[in-house]
Amino acid sequence: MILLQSPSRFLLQILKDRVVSGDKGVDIDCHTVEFDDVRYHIQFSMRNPKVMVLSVALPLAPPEAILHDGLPLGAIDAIKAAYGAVVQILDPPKDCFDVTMKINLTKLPTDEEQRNVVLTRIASVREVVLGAPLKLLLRHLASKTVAPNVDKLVALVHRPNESFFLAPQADKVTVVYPMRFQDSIDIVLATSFLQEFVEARRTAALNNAPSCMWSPVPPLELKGVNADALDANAGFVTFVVFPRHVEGRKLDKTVWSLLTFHAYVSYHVKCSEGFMHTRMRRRVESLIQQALDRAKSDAEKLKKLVHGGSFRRLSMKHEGNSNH
Amino acid sequence: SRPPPASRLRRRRLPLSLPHELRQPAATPRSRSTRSLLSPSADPRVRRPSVAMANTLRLYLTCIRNTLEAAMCLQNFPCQEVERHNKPEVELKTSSELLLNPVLICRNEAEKCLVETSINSIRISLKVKQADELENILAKKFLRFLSMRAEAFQVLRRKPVQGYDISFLITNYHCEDMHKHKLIDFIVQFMEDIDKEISELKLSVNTRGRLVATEFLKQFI
Repeated sequence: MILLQSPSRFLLQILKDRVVSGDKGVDIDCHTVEFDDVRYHIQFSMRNPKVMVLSVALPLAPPEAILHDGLPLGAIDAIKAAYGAVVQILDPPKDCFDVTMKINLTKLPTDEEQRNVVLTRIASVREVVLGAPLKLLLRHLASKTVAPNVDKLVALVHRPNESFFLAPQADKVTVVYPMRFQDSIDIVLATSFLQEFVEARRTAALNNAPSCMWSPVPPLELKGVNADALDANAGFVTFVVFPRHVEGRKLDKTVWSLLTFHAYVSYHVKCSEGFMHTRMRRRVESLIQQALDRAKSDAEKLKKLVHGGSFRRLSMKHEGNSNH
Repeated sequence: SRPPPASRLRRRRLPLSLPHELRQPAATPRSRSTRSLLSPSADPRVRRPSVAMANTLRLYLTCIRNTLEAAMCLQNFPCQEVERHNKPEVELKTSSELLLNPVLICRNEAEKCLVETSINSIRISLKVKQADELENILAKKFLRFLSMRAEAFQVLRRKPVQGYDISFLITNYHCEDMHKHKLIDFIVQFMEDIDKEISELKLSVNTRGRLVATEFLKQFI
């Protein structure tokens, strides 16, 4: 699995199982944590078999990313638009969570395929909630206008206490990610990966992809942002998104890709480290094997020399017998 | 037994480093900001073997091989200071009459090999080429893996000598168990293997990066 998937497998599995088991079943009360500090809590009780309650907690927002009522801009509207009557938002959300929704199982479509589509969409609640402000901005880009009341530079949350920046304009949106890693090895690997992004974009096949740049210092778009938000040890990645990347069905995929870019790079850095370790261990074992084989063959040769294996042994028993 | 007379421990003069014309200039350290502006053909991240580089590698390894063949004249020598002890004299360096001149073979500023010999042991320390940050961590990790399994290799030292990346310690016992030319073959082969492995690791990391980047960007088309 190279790309990160939008619907959470955990939620999708629980929802599908619940819908399939129908009248029989047990109470469900499950917590889970996803990458970048997103927590889910899903509940189902046989006393009330027509509803499931889903709560979502979002990553901690840094000071420069503005939240409205504890949620990203436009989140409530996005939930209503995505789910319609199937989902009802509970206010206030459960303790320690940012949004709680009641899923009405009777309002799911009866046709299995359509039902799966709706369940998949519910499992993608993270993309809907966290990606709401991004989707708004990109929708304006698709219609080639600038959203009203929007500052020149918008900061959105994507990781705990970290944000990425958007500079929306009428004909393009510039997205800048300050890349931060904790491990020193991660930093070096990530830097080489990010430079591969720039190199890959240059190949002819990817001419239509958003243009991609990397720089070790904050680019000009981030002038005026305070220094805390700009401390990035693996440089800054800039994507320039054009209307052709957000038209029609591509909008959702673009929103998810841009939202989870840092998580994607970080995931692949870790995978590469694991691969490197496996490969090094295998190489070392093969070197040891070669060394031992060589040492063994030397020891055997030495034994042969000492015992004179090239000479035929005279049988003492024969001589003794013949003498008698 | 009495120590051998001083005249027997001949101090050999061996070539200290490669002749000036054949020395490979070390890659200038490039800052991160210029890397992305370079065209692929001038990409310093990819080691492109040139004829000159292959020549100096052969010369470097031949020089090391010749030095080792001359220096590996080991014999058993019980410790002079402590009764019934037998120590590798090159590690202790207490008595100067038991030590030969150390020989330093430099391929360039970044790669070198130090050969220290004594009457019953020889210590070979290598500094491996590390052109950039990525090669740095790859080399460090790989050599640490090797050093941790030093017992399996018998002649490997657990910790490299200060200023070097990896060290070997060969004693007269190793020479008794194994043929001298086999040992030298092993050391030279080892050096080649390390270099090859680090290049391959770097290439595989870059290939993975390219694949990851391509998959990501393909989503937008």
